[in-house]
Amino acid sequence: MNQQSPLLDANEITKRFSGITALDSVNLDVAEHEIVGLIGPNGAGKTTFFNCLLGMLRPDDGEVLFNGQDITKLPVYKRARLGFGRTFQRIELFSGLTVREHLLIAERVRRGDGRLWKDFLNLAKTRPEESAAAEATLELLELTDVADAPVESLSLGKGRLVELGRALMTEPKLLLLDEPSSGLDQVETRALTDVLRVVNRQRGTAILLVEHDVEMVQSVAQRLYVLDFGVLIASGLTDEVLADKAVRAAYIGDIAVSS
Amino acid sequence: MANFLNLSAQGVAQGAIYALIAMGLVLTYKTSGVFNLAFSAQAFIAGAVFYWLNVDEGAPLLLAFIIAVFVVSPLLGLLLDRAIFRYMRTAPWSVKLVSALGLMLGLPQIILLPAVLGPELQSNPPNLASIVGISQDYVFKAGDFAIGIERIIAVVVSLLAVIGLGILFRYSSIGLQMRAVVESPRMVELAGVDADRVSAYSWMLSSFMAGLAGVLLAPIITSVNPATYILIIVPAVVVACFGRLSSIPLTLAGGIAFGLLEKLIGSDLLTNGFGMSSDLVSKLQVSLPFIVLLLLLLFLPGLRTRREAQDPLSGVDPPPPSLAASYKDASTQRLTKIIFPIFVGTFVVVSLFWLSGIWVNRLTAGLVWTIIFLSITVFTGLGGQISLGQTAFALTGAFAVGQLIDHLGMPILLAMVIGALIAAALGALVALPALRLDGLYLTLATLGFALMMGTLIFQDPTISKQPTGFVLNRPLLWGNIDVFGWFTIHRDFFRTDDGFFVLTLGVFAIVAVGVILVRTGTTGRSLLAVRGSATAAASIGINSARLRVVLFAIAAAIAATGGTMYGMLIQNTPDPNGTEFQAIVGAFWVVLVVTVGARTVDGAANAGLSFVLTAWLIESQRLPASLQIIGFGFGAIAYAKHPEGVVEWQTRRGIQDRARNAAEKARVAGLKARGLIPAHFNTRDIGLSAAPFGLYALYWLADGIYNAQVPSLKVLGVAFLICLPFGLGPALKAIRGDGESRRLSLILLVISPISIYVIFWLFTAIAKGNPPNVKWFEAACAASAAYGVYWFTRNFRDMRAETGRGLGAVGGFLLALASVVSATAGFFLVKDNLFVGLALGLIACPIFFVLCREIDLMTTAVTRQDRINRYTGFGLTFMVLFMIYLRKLQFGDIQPEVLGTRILVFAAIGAYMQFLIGAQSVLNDYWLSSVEEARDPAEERPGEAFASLDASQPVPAGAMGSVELAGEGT
Ligand SMILES: Nc1ncnc2c1ncn2[C@@H]1O[C@H](COP(=O)(O)OP(=O)(O)OP(=O)(O)O)[C@@H](O)[C@H]1O
Ligand SMILES: [Mg+2]
Repeated sequence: MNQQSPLLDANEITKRFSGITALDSVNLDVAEHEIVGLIGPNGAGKTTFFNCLLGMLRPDDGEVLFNGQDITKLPVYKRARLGFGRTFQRIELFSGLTVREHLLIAERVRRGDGRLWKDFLNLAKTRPEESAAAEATLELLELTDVADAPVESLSLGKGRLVELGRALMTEPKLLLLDEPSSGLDQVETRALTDVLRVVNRQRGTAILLVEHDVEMVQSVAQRLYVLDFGVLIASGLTDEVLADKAVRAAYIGDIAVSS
Repeated sequence: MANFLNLSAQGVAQGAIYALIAMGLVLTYKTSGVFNLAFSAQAFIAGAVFYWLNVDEGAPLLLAFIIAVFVVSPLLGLLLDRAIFRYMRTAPWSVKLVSALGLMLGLPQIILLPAVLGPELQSNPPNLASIVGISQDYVFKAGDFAIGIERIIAVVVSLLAVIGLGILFRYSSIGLQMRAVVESPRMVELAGVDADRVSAYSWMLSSFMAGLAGVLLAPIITSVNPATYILIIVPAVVVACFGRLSSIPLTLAGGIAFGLLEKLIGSDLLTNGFGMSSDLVSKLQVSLPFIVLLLLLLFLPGLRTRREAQDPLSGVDPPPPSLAASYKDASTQRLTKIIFPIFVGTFVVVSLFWLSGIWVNRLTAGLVWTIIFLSITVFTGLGGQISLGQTAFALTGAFAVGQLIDHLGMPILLAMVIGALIAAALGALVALPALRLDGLYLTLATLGFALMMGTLIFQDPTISKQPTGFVLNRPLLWGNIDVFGWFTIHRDFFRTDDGFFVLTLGVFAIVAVGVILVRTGTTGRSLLAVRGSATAAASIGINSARLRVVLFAIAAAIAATGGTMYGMLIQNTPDPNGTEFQAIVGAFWVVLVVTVGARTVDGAANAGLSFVLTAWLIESQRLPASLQIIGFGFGAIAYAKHPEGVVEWQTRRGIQDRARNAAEKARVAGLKARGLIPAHFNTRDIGLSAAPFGLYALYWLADGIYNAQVPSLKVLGVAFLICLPFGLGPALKAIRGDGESRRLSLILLVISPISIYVIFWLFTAIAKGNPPNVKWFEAACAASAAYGVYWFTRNFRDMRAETGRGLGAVGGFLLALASVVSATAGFFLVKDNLFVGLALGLIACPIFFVLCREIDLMTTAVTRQDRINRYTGFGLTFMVLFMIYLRKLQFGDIQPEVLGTRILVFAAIGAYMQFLIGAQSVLNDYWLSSVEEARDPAEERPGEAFASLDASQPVPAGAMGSVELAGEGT
């Protein structure tokens, strides 16, 4: 928090679904280059919070600032172009397309080069630098050998990696990851953790990580927020938060129950 | 005031019927996920049966009513559910919708065929009053208030039906289950309701409601014909939407309210009260349902966000398999690159220099339709949405061009470009309010849009210059062009048939290349992304709203270009009320293109050309023109199995066949190397044994048709001698297999030449006007049928038991086919009665299907299923063509030398040969399996060997999505 204004600044986000308050005045900020964890028991409102940040849901109250700009009213795709990338808890891939096509589309959209007249003049072919970028991401995520497979044929874990790759291709400033390690085994989780570190260090991408795997969060996140029934019950440096009694009661207890 | 009351009473009567239909719609939508636009067809059929029984056949009113409504309608519903929609429960919405559209168009035409019922439908049938002893023309009067008995009946019966429905829902267990499904699909999942049963009952019930509505409507509406009934369904859709597709009371209220609104708008309320012109009011009245539909869709929030009744399994729509082109290996690709230009070149040269003017014209028409259909390729094949409104854009283009020429004297080609741009702008404008609609609701909105344009805008003479339309002259060149002194292109070149063909080809090429570029470009890929997952697409920054607008605009521009070209073809703007460009025809276009193939340009080209050519073929055979609609309408059902379209599916299969043949060769080589089969064995032996017969038969048939002569038996004997060594070989070798395979080889050997001979002998005998000895023939039919049945029953039991029995199944199938074909033919000749023939055909068809299903189930290997599909298809085609041919010849409707007839006959022979080859290939497979099994049980099963071959192919994405498709996809 060396900067005067954080990269992402969510203020007093409130979201109600008929009856229940899924988010109750949640404040959260992420600085540039930072990895922040967001944990909480099932149904705490983490995914809802992500949806409010990116505009898939409209919060009933509160505002979202990105790089100091108020983006609360922007549609999803504009926010994405500002520098958000995200993965989904329930995996969302483009059915019917191959892994490489996923990455190439994301790359093309990032370049903002989708004019219709270019299609008509046959200027829309994949350019060498686009393929190179896709290739690099494939290698980073170790997806090279399935690059030309349709995504339906992939395992859940690989599917999550494709989602991550697709998000990375848009060169986001902030990456929102919703339980990226679910569906991965331990080895894969460790590999994923390494990838996140590399991305964070080399590209300077800030990451907001929702995760049930506390160990994983602990190993990468500098700071941690804890959400319980839509209320932020703790925030601060990772180790301090995890030592907190209330957090252990709300969260660790939940793990014992759920596993 | 009295007028007001009278109109209200009429409105209530009409509204009660709307409510009835709407409830039927909701019932099937909720229980099976099918938004059943074919409802109008069901209603029409009941109406037509009622009419036919009572008016044409003189049956008592009550009897006609009971048969039409209580017998025919529920049975039709049951049939639709069992035969079609039950298998679509997990299919995506688009598949269900297209199937329903196909039935909407095809079903009514079947009833209208003279051979089926062929009611005259001259006037309206009587109403039901006399059943309860009231006069037909009774009018209830109270002061100035008067209402005809037919409307009283409509109100009373509809309300009774609705109340009866309420009671059924309340007090019977199946009713409760249905209501549970209608009102809360999720509850039903929890309660473990038998979905099959609920679905069957609700289809029967809803069909009963359709029938009731159909019979009640028949005396009221202007005329009893399919189009009127289709138009009735639009208000019903409005009412169903008003009831938010679930609430029964709201639906009833909405129905009555809408009925009232419709009548009251026609009263002098608007003209006197608001000073509108009566012309405008009458137009408003006609287009009211469409306007209200659009408004409801756009502004009723509960509707848009409603989750559709879905099977949990349908959560993941199986994505379409990759384009066939992606399966090509390098050598095939090279081959395509050479063959394609040759093909196009030949096509052009042959068309220009060899074909007569009328044929050039037909091909030109085919190309014009192709251009129009390309708009569906973009909208549906690429965008994944279905638009029933493309007629409106085509007409917009043509009228805009007409205006530009009339007012600005613009050259027509320039006007065509600007017309396309105007249509594109209109498309974008339409897309904007519809941005938040998706899937079914978007489709309904496009339907509303097209109908509204048709009734409100295109009727306006200032816009469309109706009734004559604008003259659209083909362009002139700037002068005579001298090409290097070789020849001169005259100034009016484009006004000749040949010249216009060239022009159309050019426009088609430009549009087609544009479509391909969009598909492979960023826009196409983004569209695919949005189609795959709209949420994820937005999360990487794709603006799906802009894409949707672009999609509408491109599709509209293409349709407009096609519309203008069509105008130039007939040298006049198309008639918005004609059979070609009526609003409702948009549904037919979609059904046609989607069935043939919506994803590629060749799909559209095939659709366009087959649209023109089938029409011609049917006409040349003096068959009813409606056969085309019936054929394509029912073809839509194939879409459920092959969402990528027939053309794509066939292309892919052709490519894969090459790989498969190579694999079979390798397999045989392996077996030979291990000494399991003799070194000289050739898997094509059996096929070859039939080939000389095929060639001979072709020659002989052509000869027979030209000269009307029966070829001599000597030639047949020679053919037999040629075939013998080929056929005898495998038959002897088959002894190494088990008893069944040996038996089957022999049967095939004997049956193929003999059946070919018998059939062609028949052809020529009839052609010569020299019918064969009937007694002899009957005896042969009986024997063959008896043997077929014997085989069939003997093997049917065992078939389920184990895969090895498949051989028996194939044999039984072959014999059943042979006997059915010859028996059918026999009846044609003997009884001189089409009805008996048709009945036999109808009996034969289920036998086919049952057999094929059984074989399908039994053989798990992908390849086998594929082959069986093939030879069933061809066998059926053969039978149908053969039947048509025989009947036509017999009744002297056609001359054998007519081109269409010859094509028909050659198609039949081709189908028959394919059938034999397919059967033989399956046989080979079984035989090789039995060899492998008998000699080397430890070896992996051959079926698996094939399966693994297929796995090594690039797997089409669809195959992963659902088990259904896995058997078909490769
Ligand atoms: N669209 C919706 N409509 C109604 N309620 C919703 C909706 N989305 C989420 N909720 C409710 O909001 C609450 C928060 O849900 P959310 O999915 O955000 O939790 P989560 O923290 O992501 O849980 P998990 O760890 O299971 O992913 C839950 O009680 C959920 O039922
Ligand atoms: Mg969540």
